[in-house]
Amino acid sequence: MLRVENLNVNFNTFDGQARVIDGVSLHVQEKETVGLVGETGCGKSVVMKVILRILPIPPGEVAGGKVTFEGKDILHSSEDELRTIRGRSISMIPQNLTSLNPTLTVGEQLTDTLVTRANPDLSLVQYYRSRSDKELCRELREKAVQILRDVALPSPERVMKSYPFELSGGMKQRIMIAMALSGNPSLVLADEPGTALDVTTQNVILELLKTKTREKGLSVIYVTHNLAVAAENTQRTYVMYAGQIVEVAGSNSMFSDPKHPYSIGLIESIPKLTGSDPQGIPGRIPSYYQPPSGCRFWPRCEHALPICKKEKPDSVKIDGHIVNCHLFD
Amino acid sequence: MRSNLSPSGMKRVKAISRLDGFYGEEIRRMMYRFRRNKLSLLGLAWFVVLTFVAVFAYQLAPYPEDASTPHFYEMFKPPSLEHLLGTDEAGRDVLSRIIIGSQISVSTGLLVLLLAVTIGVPAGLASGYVGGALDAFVMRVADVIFSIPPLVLALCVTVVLTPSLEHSMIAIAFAHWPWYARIVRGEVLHVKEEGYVEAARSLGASTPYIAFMEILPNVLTPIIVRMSLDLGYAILILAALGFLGLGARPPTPEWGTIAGVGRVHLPSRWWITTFSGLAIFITVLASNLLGDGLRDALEPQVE
Amino acid sequence: MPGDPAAAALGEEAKPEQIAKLRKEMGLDQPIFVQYFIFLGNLLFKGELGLSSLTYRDALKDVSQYFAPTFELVTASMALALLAGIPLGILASQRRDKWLDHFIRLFTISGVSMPRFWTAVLLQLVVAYGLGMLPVTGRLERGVPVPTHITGLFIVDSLITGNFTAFVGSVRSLILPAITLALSPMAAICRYVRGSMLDESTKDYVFFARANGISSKLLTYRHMLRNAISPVLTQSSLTFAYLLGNAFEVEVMFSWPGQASYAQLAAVTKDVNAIVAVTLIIGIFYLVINLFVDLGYGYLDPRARVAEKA
Repeated sequence: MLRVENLNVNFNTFDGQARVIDGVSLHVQEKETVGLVGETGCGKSVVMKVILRILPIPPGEVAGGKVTFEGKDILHSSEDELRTIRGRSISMIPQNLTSLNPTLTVGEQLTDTLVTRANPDLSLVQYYRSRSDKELCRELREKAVQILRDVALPSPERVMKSYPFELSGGMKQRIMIAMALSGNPSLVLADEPGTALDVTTQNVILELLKTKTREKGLSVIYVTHNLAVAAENTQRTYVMYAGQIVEVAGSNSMFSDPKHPYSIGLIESIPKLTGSDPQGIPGRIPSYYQPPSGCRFWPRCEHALPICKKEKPDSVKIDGHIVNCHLFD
Repeated sequence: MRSNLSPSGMKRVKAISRLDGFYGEEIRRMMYRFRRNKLSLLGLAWFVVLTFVAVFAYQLAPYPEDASTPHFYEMFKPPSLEHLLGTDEAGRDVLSRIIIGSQISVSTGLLVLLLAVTIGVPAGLASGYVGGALDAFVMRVADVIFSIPPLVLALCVTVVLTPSLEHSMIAIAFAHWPWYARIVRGEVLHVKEEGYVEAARSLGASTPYIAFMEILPNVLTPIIVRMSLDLGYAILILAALGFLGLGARPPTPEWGTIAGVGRVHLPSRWWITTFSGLAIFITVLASNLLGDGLRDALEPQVE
Repeated sequence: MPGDPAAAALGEEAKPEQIAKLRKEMGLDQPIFVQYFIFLGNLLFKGELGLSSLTYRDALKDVSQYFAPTFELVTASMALALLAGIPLGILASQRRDKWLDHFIRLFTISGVSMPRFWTAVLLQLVVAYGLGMLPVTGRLERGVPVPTHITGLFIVDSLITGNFTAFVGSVRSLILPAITLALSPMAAICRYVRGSMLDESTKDYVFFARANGISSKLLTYRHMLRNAISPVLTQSSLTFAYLLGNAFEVEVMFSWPGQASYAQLAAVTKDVNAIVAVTLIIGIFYLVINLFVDLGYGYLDPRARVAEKA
């Protein structure tokens, strides 16, 4: 359904060119929940933004690759076509709780979204004229309240009149989920949902998401740095490091038997009730302005071979995993 | 700033690496950013030309004696091949006067800035470092100065001191020094808060050392930016005062004064005011382009 | 005393006794403290600011008479600056680093760099003298009737009284000076808006809104502009007050009978009372404008409203 092939993304800044995404490929089937796991800063959100084509283009630049959604070539679609896709076929649930406009009430943002959903080619003039249409406004408001009720928000009417800063994190996250799902998308890009919240609320939110996914038969890409979440909620998991995909496997298999040194490192750094202390992975994410050649993980890899520096590893199939590592050549 | 330090950041290490970072790669990066901005390069180019003209004014002007010598039989000639920009009310070649006037405008502009900085920086240093009543007093004075538009202030001061070129310079410097004081004071307070002072003291550093090593590098950038922007405004106010008859007195060929005198003869003898004003415009434009580019290079905004 | 108002008022021919007499009349022979108190007393109880040494009328009256034209000019300029500056700023932020952005930037920096008297001259030469389209100087051309005095603002007064000729006439005379004065704030506003909008474009809510399919026009004008505009407006209020005190060159060039030229005259003749009156008026208006801006801020940014309640 969604296919990303060999994506390359650069950021051109005053400080030079940052090669953020290097040859990333992934795909999502219908009704499948896929995890995308990696450290903060490895480029997960960038990939999501490219899929929706909302990456800011002056500094950003898609240098190569292909993104196909239900047969359509996303990278070469026009803005008009994209607007019919965004929110209606593909939706995004953002990670940051600041993703709601602070100077508009929830109701206003919601109705704006609904109006645009109904009519993606809405011009500014039409928009303002529609605001004076009382009947339409009432309809939209009712629909909005219904949507908020769907995500189990208490007293939706009051929420509609509130500004984002008056609401708690959990409520905001629900609103964002509501907005994302309101257009009945087939694919949802969940960018670290709930990471900005306390653990209890996070669980509630994730449960909500799970329920909705099941109800509506959605495909989901779960972007997260939290392995536990990925393990529980996804069917397949991609592991990403510094702009490169290093491994992909069925989620259970990924966690019981990781192959790539980075995946192993990630698993080992989860605190466990029993067993040895968690081991972090020494080192840091490299600078994207001068990324390591070949496999980008070699500076931090204890099993690094001379070839790791020179060539980017090909994908190797092992035990149902696809690994990009020279150790398995 | 540079985030490659381990979190245990001893303040001393931070202080020293701040220095190091500033004088090293930062400069290269700044120059790269500056070069990318074509408009600022234009400003820089014009400024170089202007400085050249100002230095060699008497060599370049077609009629150098016209700085003051009248030739009454040549009065009010419109632009022609002999007098590219025409002649003024005393028969003097306008182009020559403008060229010679560049010396005055540029030098006074720079002097004014220098004066403002000389007053402002120590004031800011003292204010921030000593704090207390001195700080309160200086800031009150600065506030009052801030609340009055510079032109009005300069006007008042010039009038009180009796109008002349020197007095208008003093007046403008007086209106501008608080900006520098505020920048410096801010940095001093910042440094005080962060404890760099204590850290340095604990290593046995004396006050002047602290002032130079901790405060100066960080303050240099905003001051340079501020100065390059202020140069344009200083020249503008200087010209305005001259235009109103409160600055340089005729026959000094200061651009504003020339324009002011020429105003009486509008619209028929338009070339006097028009060209002197043009000179002011281009110079201030160059200064602003330069300042703008410097600001972008030294203090880059969001991408 | 170099700045002796009495001496200045009487001119150079005055004899010392005459000067002394006038000083006594004006209360200038009292120590400064007493003078100050008398001044305050007059101001608060009688609404008088003391005699202007030039016109011998109460300075406050003088200033209010001369103030309306300045206010009209400055308001018109400010409106022009906002009307032109904001769209240009938005446009520049949308076409960042492209040809149009650079062009607008050059245009705005030029606006700030032009000496106001020079702009005035150019406009007068080209438009007024050359093309003859608009009047050269003055608030009204010869032959245009003066509207009845209600507020002192010609534009407003002529509209209220339905005096169409006067309305057109006052607008025509207002155009050139307003443009001249507007260039500088317009440049600043354009700059500010551009920066502000660019800053907004990196904020999270923009990404989310786009991800939801909201068109860029709607996004820009309804969603982003609200957030971007508040600092611009605060800045503009300061600019307004600044312009009030700074309309000198323009008023002089266009023979606009406003308070700036009055103050200039006062400065040249060392009319202390008059200068004080002018400063006072400017200060009061500054306060009033700030009040309006604070209110406006509350309307635009709901967070400010709540903060005030708390």
